[in-house]
Amino acid sequence: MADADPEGHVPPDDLASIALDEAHAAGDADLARALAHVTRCRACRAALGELRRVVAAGRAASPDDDVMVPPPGLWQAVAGALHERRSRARRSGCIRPGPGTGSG
Amino acid sequence: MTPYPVTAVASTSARDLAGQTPRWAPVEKSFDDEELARGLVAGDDACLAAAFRRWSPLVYTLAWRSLGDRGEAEDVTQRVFLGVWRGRHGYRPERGPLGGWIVGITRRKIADALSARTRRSDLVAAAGSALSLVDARAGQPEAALDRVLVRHELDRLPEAQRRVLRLAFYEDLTQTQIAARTGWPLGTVKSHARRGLHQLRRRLEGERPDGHTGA
Repeated sequence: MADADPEGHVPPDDLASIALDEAHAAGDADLARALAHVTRCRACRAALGELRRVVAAGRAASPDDDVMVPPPGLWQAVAGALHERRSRARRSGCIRPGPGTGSG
Repeated sequence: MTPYPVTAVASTSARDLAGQTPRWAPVEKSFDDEELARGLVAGDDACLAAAFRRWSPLVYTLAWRSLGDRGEAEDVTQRVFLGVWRGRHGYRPERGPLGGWIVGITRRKIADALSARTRRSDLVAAAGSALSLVDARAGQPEAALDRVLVRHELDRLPEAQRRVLRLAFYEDLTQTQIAARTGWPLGTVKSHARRGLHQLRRRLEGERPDGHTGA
């Protein structure tokens, strides 16, 4: 199945399999052949590298990497900075007050 | 990609800040990605507020995990959303979703914060301190970004892809073992794995002019 592509490039399923099951790829004749191609082919190597990066991040990630709620007051800081910038701009006549959402 | 509701974001892990009630911007309207992007470009404040509610947890977490400093993370988060406002005319929907664009801005602001830090520690090193050793050990910001993004995006994959990749990542199962565990044919498992991995890859890379459409 690894040589369906005329150039011999490794099909995406096999690249994903190599990236996920790296340790077992050598024991699988198709994957071993695909891996041999990858060592010679720059495009496949780059594609595999990207998938390996995803797998490495996925395996390394822990609940510590979950998204956290930022502390309160951050929005007020952003809004304050914007307001200040805008009133400065309005005084110099550059910006009109924002219209509503594009509903009309 | 399915836009997730604005309110979903606030329900994500808040371990570190347990007990603090976030005071979100007073906007009740829920926008989808496209409306948000249009409203932003039109200069609608409510859309910036909605974008903040939807993405500030991710932006803040990316900054906090890669910089390891809450103060800097807050500062970066502010800069990101000011940057979103200032740069809103530069957003190109055809290059990818709004969230990806905001993550791209986040990467740049984090890089700015890191280089500002390098400049500061260069000054300290020049003054004869051994601080550079400490920096070398702590410095894996790119890997930290990848981990946060992968966890975040994994939760947004279709159910079957998510299940397969969780088993592969967290239980270290091979695709054959996943097939046995789920009772799904190996080909199905491989297809879910491939689609899921490619979707995650796109999210890690950020916006690209030639977005593939595999998933």
